Amino acid sequence: MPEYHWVGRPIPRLDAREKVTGTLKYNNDLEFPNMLFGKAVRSPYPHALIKDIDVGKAEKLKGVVKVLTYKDIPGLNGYGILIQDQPVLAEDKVRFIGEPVALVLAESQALALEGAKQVDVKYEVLPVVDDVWAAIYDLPAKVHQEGNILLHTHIKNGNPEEVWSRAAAVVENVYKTSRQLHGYLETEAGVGLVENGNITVYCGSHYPHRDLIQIARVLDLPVEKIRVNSRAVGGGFGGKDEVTLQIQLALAAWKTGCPVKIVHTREESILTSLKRHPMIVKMKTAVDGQGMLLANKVEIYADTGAYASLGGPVINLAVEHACGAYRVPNAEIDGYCVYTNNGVSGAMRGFGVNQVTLAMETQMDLLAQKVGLDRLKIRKRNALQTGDITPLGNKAIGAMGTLAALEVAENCPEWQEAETWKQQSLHLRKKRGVGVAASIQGVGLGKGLPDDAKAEIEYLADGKFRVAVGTPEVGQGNITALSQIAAEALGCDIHKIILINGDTGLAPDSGSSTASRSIYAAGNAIIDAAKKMKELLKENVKPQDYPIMAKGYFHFPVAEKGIEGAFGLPHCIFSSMVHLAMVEVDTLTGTVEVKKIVAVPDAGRVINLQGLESQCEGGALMGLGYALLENVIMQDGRMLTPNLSTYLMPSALDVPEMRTIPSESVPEPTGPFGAKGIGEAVCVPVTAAITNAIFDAIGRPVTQIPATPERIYRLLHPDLE
Amino acid sequence: MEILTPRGLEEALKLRSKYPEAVLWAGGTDLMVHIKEKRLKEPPLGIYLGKVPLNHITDSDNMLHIGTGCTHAQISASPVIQTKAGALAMACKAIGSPQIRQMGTLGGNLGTASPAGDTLPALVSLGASLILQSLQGKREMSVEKFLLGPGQTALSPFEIITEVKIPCQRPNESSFFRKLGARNALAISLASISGRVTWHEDGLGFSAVSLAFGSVSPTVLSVREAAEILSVPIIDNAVLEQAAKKVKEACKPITDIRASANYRREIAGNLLLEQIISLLESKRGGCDA
Repeated sequence: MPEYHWVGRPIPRLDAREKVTGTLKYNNDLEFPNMLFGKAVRSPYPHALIKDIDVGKAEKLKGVVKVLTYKDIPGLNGYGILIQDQPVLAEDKVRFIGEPVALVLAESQALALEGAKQVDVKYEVLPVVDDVWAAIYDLPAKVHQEGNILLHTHIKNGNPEEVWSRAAAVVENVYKTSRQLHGYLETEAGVGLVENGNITVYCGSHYPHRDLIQIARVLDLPVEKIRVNSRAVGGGFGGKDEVTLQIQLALAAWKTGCPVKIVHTREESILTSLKRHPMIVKMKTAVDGQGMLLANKVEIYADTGAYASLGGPVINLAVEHACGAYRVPNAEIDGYCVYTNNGVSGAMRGFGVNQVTLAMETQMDLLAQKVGLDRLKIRKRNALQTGDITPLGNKAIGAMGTLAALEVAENCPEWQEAETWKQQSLHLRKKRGVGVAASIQGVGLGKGLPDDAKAEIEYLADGKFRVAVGTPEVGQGNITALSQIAAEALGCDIHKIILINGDTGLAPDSGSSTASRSIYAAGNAIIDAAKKMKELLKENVKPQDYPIMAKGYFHFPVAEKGIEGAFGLPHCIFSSMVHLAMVEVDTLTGTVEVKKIVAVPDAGRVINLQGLESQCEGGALMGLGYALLENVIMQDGRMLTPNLSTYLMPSALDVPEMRTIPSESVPEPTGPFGAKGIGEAVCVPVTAAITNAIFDAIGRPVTQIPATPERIYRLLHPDLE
Repeated sequence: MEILTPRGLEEALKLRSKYPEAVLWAGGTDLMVHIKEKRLKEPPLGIYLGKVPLNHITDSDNMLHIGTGCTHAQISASPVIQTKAGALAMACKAIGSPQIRQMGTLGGNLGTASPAGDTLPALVSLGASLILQSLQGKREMSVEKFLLGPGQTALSPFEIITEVKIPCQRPNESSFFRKLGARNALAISLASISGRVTWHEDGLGFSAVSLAFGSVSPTVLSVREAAEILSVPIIDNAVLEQAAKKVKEACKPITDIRASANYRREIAGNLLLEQIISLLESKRGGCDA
């Protein structure tokens, strides 16, 4: 590997001090003179027609300045990254509990809350669509006029039907996954204000430059009049990819001329935030006698909730990744994205890959068992490599690190000594198991979506470089990693880098901090700008020349040919991930204790090991929670887990020992110094590694998550009523 | 809510007598949540007992006296409670999180009388009784009699629970508590068990047993039949299975989002197996089960 000065060094996070000491101002910390507070009036029904909205009583309350309804929206009353089917304020119909109908603006939080209680909305209740099967087949009601299927993607490459009869083993199962909450520490919060006729919105976001477009469309204003600042985000995990409060804040400030703050309570956040799509995945998979995959037939049904948001792209990414990290010559995949009245599902770390990976990786263990192959060997044998034809029929052109990562996992002591460890359980009633799972994750948005990145570098008179990119820091550590890339590319000390990001007023559009792309895309744009800057600095620089500006651009690699009938597919760049999990199952109670997780990320060249380890640990916990605990339970469109005492995430006492072993042997040639994105993959295969470890311990596969103590107990005692 | 803050017991009892409708609290870990989640309408008047000195832990004449103002953290860290009422120390350690254990009190856990209250099975199995005090005087009542149902107790509107009395564990006795939650902290129990046993001299069985279960019926459940089955000189698998069966039959759990009734019933029996086997193993010094 080439020697670098800044790349690869475990630089402590550059934003650690202000976050640890509390000096960083998050959106809820912002105060402005004459600031108003906003509170939404929310639908109490999962599905209902709005017959009347009476704001008279609320507007008469002392301290209530204005009550906004759909009538106050100058432009399109709709938002959504791809399809603008979600009203900013509902007009004629509500489609989930918690949907905003009016926005009360008042002089204090308490007055806004009081005002919200006084808004009188009359509804006519409609039948509730609370189940994907019912939504498709029984059709109790149409969530949207066009019907309940938002998207059906069908892909066929080869013909699985011809394979079943000649296969050595065929495994068929139905997998069910839960509705996961992002659980970011900072609830949706922000301030909107008008200055000199222009609007500024402070709000946590994964892509402030795209928010501009969404705000402009609703306010019927040119994007040039709007600025979105997302410089302090208390966690996102994809949940702040779609707009949260940006439009409400801009509208409220525009209509009143005052600064307006809105902060969601935890309960409002849990009720209204996007969730990971619950999916039902039917999978039939075949191998030959050597364990080579022959065919995979997959049907995916995703509950996308009341509005489109990114449901379509999520289901397409699930389709693209349905065959896991493997070559499958015959594949037929159907993905259905279905509207219901169960809140709204959307982007979340992994973006549809988590659900299908759970299914495919369980299938792999079952197939290995059937043909008598080691679980790791069957994965190695089938691992998709650069130049292979993917299950979708396109050629894999990016670096594929799955095989290398599997080899790292195979050689680590946790796998080598798994059988010994399993025998060392202190109690007969506690059964131990070790599981492995692999996945690949497309980096970037995919074919046909805007994925390019810009960067600007200014050489300042004090000898420092101001490096500006649009991709916000959402907690993942890109301020540090991008600063390392900039210092490396410019050949300067890292402390000479002033990294500016997440603010459309100060940085160019570098695309989103989503899809594991910010280091890869923004990093490359920085390198391009740095090259140009170095050229400029070769000439004799005079004081009057400052600041010297260089602009960089990165054109994201895109497949020549798209996959027919599947918008956004295929991806070109993939990061691989392998997880090992060691568990102990208490057969008396069904409780699963995860003892250790080993993460083997194929991140290409690692920019910052400490950052990668943090990502791997946080990601593993998110995947652990998904495997064992987390579930937003809905019944008749109502949420039964409205707070963090009923929606359980792992606590500090549930954290196992964790180890990260990066597999760096397959650098990505197009990546910044060989790096690629890893922010999502770190939370993906760990879920299946845990459920496969349970399978290893108790001899029965886990087909539904979360694997609660009761579910595991019932696997052990199928006769229990 | 208007809050009255008595500084001594006498003052507290006077206020209680004068304002029997006022809500009582000390740590607030239940009350605040109930008000916030609107399970309870904010009462107009409250008597805050946090400043009343009720946090004594004393040991006299083989009886532990524990002030009801003791926090869970204080109880779980108390060496005398660890050795003489082990199950209570374990139960307090299993409550909520460190923050909740610092605030919540034993008296509060009793007053709330949740079917899932962690200290309650421990207190019942240990044979604890309560001192209920009013201006008119004191009365003593067993915890088992005190708990009437979910959120319902025998406390009169003029009384305050001032002390918990527990007969000290003797050297030939052991006690245990175990809670099964969905995660390792901040989890409401799916089922819990507590027990107190008097060892038979051979160490292979018991001469007396008391058992109590939480979260498997409207209030703490003592299963005397199971305790009697276990009160034999030698405990073998048949005895264990028979006792566990009695427990499963006696449970009247509910189904909610956390677990089904059938699972809770199974687990209550299995927790008994686990705990008795662990006790016998610890006596034997082995660890195979």
